[in-house]
Amino acid sequence: MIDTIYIEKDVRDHPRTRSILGRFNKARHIPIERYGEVFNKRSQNFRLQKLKPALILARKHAGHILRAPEGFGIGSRKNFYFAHMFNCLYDCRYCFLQGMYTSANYVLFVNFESFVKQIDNLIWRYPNESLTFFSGYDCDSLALESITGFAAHILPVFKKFSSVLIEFRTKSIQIQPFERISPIDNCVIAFSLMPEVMSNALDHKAPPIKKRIQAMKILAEKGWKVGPRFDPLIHGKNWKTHYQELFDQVFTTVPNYAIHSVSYGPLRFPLAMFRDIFKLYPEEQLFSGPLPQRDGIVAYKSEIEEEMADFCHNNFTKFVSDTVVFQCTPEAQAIGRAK
Amino acid sequence: MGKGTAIRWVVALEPESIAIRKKYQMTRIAISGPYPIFKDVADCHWLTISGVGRVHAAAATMYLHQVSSAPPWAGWVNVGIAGHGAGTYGTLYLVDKIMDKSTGRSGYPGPVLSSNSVRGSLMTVDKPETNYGNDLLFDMEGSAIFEIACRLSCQQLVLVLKIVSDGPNIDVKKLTSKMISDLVSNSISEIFKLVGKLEILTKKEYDRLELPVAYYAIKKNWHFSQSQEYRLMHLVRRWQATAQNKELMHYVDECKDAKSIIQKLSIKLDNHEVDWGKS
Repeated sequence: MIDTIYIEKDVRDHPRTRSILGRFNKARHIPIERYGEVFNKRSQNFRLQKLKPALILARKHAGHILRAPEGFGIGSRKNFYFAHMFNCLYDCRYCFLQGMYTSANYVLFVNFESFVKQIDNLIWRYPNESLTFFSGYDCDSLALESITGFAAHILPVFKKFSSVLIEFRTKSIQIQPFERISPIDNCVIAFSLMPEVMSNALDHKAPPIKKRIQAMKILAEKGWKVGPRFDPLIHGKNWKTHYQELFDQVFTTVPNYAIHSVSYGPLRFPLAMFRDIFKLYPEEQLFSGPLPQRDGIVAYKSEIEEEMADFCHNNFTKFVSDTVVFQCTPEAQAIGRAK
Repeated sequence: MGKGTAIRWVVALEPESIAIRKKYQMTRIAISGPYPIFKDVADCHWLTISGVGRVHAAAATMYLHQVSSAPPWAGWVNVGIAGHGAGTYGTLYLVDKIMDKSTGRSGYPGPVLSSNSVRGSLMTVDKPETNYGNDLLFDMEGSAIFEIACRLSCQQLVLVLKIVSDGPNIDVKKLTSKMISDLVSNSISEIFKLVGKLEILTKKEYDRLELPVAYYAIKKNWHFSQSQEYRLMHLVRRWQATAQNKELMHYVDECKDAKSIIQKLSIKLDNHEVDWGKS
């Protein structure tokens, strides 16, 4: 799978580096000073690099935890997000990562301790406020969990602070870290979902929708809180039928008591990002339909967005309480994705 | 060779080029210029001989780009001999790190190709290096060719291949043209295997970057301003993605001018609903 690993000299002797290198005995190790030497250089080609990404082991020096904009999915008044990795194992055609980096290599920050310390600091800084932390916005939270062990490392931190919510966003079915420990009430494992026919066409290399739903069911039955995420909503012929089938499947499979929240949001790209993604995948049928530009944002027409949002909301409230249904506001998404 | 195959070879020495030219039946093109240029009959493979050193290597790469009208999807290949402190004479290395001794900069040819070739790091120096060590390859051109080729194409389409020719026990001064030519010759099947994989990548890039025939046909029949051309390009690409490719010319056949073509295509595509298939 990974046959090249770039290693920052600074983390060469980090125990996590050694452990990860031990898993890839045959990989070629290339020493580097800083990950920026290799990652996101201008002359790189994301699409070609995605054919065979390398792993970069690095140290995160700053910006471990970032403030999320208002309306960022579910959440409290103060929302934060963090990413222990840049880039993702999967290759989803609507993903903003394609337009964000010129490089498809995976950057893994091995100094998890610094993330924990920053989270701790924030929690102590706001003792009387409910905070929400989101994991998995520059990567998938769990896709490389078997190699990184990040979720397993960070979960105990949140166990200590019951008023703080942590959401792991994923398409992965690698749920072992959650199976190994007792459920934590303030943790939500959020699964990105879309109708199977759309996922087959767009979610390259990601687990099938049925398996994701099954993973939610397993976690729910073990006592974990889960969160179906229908974001982005994809339009097309018979979209209502496709989504209706998906909702029926999700809400009849996953026990209602375990659903922490349901969220949905439109497909949106900042214009510059859309241009980059369109250049990379001009043959992609997702981009062939009506995606006009409004105020620097490329999205479906407002009528389509509103119709889809209404349809989703009306359906969700048949299955779950209105209080746990959240619409991701377009503004938050646009800011978040262009970060 | 398929449509879209575009490989540009840069070697420093004439003997390094012999086996490559022979394989592709390249002939020298009849233009006078600072560096000799060779090409195959199909215009897919072009080669230049730069001479020794970074300045020549960079200049020859640029010159080959100009003379061969290299497209942005072209793959660039540098094959050459190199010194190595521990490597076995004749071993071919696929270079995945290049350090430039004089500037201190490093470059990382992206290993997108699946290959069993031995991989190594290369140090490009300005004077022949006889102080071998540190498990490095030494040459005098690699960093310059890589840097320029990356600007002309992209990092994933640049291959730097080095064959061990000298080291602590093999005096670089004793290398003859015949020895150099044989070194490349002996590795040629492995080189071609790698270049064959590179050709597949260039084809992928060609498919991505090249505009459909219909775009050129429309432009030929109607006058488009610069901004209209850009809009047309975007619309044709979207049209292609809807898989209605064959009908495009027919669809705009009766349009009076560029504006009406853009309008007609926009209306059609803005009402297009993607068919994702059946559940």
